[in-house]
Amino acid sequence: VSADVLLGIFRNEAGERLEAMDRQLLAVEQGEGDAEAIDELLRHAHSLKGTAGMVGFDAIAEVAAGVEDLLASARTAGALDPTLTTPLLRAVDAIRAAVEGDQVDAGAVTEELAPLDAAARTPLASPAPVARAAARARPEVREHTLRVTARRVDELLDVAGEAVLHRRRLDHLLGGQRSERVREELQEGEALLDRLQHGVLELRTFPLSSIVGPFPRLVRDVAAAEGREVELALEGVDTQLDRAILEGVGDLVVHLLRNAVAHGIEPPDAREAAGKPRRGRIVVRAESRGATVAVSVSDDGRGIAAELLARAGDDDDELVELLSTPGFSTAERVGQISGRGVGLDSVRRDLERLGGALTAKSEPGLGSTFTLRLPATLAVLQVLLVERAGQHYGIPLPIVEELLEGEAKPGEDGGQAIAVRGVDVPLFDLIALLGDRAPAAASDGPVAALHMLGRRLAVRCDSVLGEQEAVVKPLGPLVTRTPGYLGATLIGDGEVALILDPRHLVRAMLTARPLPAPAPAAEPAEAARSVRVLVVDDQVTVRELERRILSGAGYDVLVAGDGREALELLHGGAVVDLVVTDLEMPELDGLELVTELRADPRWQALPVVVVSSRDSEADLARAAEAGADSYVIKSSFDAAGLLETVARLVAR
Amino acid sequence: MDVVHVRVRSARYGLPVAEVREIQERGRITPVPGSPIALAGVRNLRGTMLPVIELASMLELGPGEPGPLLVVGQADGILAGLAVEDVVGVGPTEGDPLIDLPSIIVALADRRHV
Repeated sequence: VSADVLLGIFRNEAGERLEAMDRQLLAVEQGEGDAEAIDELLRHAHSLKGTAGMVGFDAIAEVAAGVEDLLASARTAGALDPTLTTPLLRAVDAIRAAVEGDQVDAGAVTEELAPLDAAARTPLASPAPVARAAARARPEVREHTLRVTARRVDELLDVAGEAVLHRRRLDHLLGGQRSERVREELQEGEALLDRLQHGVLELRTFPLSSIVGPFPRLVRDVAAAEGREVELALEGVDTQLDRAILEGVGDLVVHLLRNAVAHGIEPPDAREAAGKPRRGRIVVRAESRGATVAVSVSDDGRGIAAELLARAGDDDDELVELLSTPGFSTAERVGQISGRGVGLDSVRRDLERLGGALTAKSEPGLGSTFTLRLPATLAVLQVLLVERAGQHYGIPLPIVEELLEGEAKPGEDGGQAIAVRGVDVPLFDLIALLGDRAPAAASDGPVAALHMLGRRLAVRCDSVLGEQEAVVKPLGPLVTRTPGYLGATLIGDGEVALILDPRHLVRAMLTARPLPAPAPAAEPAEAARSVRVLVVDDQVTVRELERRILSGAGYDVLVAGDGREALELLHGGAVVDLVVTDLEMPELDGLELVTELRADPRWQALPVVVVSSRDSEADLARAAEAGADSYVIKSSFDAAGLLETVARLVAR
Repeated sequence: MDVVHVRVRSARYGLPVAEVREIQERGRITPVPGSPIALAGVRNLRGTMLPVIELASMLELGPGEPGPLLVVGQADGILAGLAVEDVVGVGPTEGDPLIDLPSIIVALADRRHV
């Protein structure tokens, strides 16, 4: 084991121990400094001392020894005096700085601790409550864990991705001639690959709790500096997020926490005067909503000034827009008294880089909530693959409203426009939006109508290749400075397709020129659109089978892994003409999906076909009651039957 | 110091051996619209995205054929392919001008060279 690896391991371990010590010392400060707390602190200090000595971090070993001595004295007293937490926290900070590589004067730190020994040995007047200790968490059953570097997980993900590509090539080579047995084996293989890929993806996710460690300490420090009294609550911290997102999100939450303490929560006297408890409350809450995760920071402070709220109307997005405009109103002074906090523009910018969005809500006098909406994973994305000027591009499926073919007509601003469901939408050449040039695309080529961030636009390309689940690979630091791409994915025979960044498309449409308007003589052709079916099933094989049957019959097919995903696609702007859904699915099952659809005026009349292995009268009745239009039993499932049902419902 | 001798537009340059990982055919390069001219695009290198830099363009040697070979180099933990006309061999510098890969990478990452 090389010295570097050893150091890396020590840094990791020390980081966790220091965080645990922070947490425990803060608990002590709140009056929970019982023997159990001291024991835990002692254990950490002792281990730090030992390991630091082994890897030659003498300064750390010395400070840790000082901390250990003081804690040992406190144990003889049976409780830790809360006034000792501040010097102990300082010592923890010194160790942390040394771990990070700073020069630390260990002698000075231990000299500060030594004289406190007498105080530590003195039993407290009122012993720490026993009930609290009993109420604390029961010992957990520990699972074995492995420490694996993120790079190795990403390598595994690459291999899994390659295996999927290999499988596609094999599929292609076999063509249509394959026996029943070969087909079964291939399906089995595909299911296994799917499990492998998703399994590796899950390895990339971590709970939010892995980054919340420093939050309580931060809130305490900011509150102390600003003269506030604040308690912090953490909710839903077991919510899982992609590592890459998690790394970026920590700083953003810290920023929002600082704002909440310094600009949201009022001074204790002001709170009392307003009839509120002196101590303010801040809640960090994480919540998984299918493919997205919402992380919010709420405070019960003064809220955003009514005048600002009035200007934003009732619109959350507009409020964020107002608050994060740099230099809005006369800046800092207003920032302080309006409770809006500072630096929201940078939070929003960083968040957008992660593919997220910021929203704000507030009630004057009652508090504010800032919510970060994040994709749960950056690693896999459903994309529509298109071709333009000999290159392939992936457009994230959630922003694709529909595919059109047909001629454009003159738009409002002299450019081209195309009718999308009766509304004229500006039409761009895809390559022009990306800031490049190429020979013009055919004027009757396919057009993808896109809808994102409240805007609609259409892009012309040379051909559409269909949808694909894309494993998103980072473009690396050299290319990421070029705006416009979320990453790249490998298609077919290992060719690279760039994945477009919806936010960049919106920015680009404001500056790029739409295609020049056609000669007025051109007769606008009727925009033909294929019928789009949404297939919802949690089993890949069933989903794939249905997708092939339907797309083979000329339908445009979207797929979703469960009801939640289906709803997200629809809420994200996907337009479908019919839904084929399974009943038993995780997250949101088929019946719940139908019920949700029927409750929304947009989808009240959307035909829904249930395909299920449940065949009892009761199940059929329940589906009909929820609002399904047709019911196909899996055991008697055949392609012709499904197609006949779909055709009938679409024609209706 | 040993270097990998490469030829770009008929002139010879040297790349420190320590910074060179491997030599590859140019392969299929996907251009990235909107990126600096010297960045030819990205290429699939065993499942990861390798940025490809047209060395002649980076050195401002004027227009010409794209380099058919890639010298895959690494500096500051960033991997990049340098497209060159030919790879001549490995040996002492022999007075060939040195390619400063870290500076090239920094210049491109900062978009100073557009």
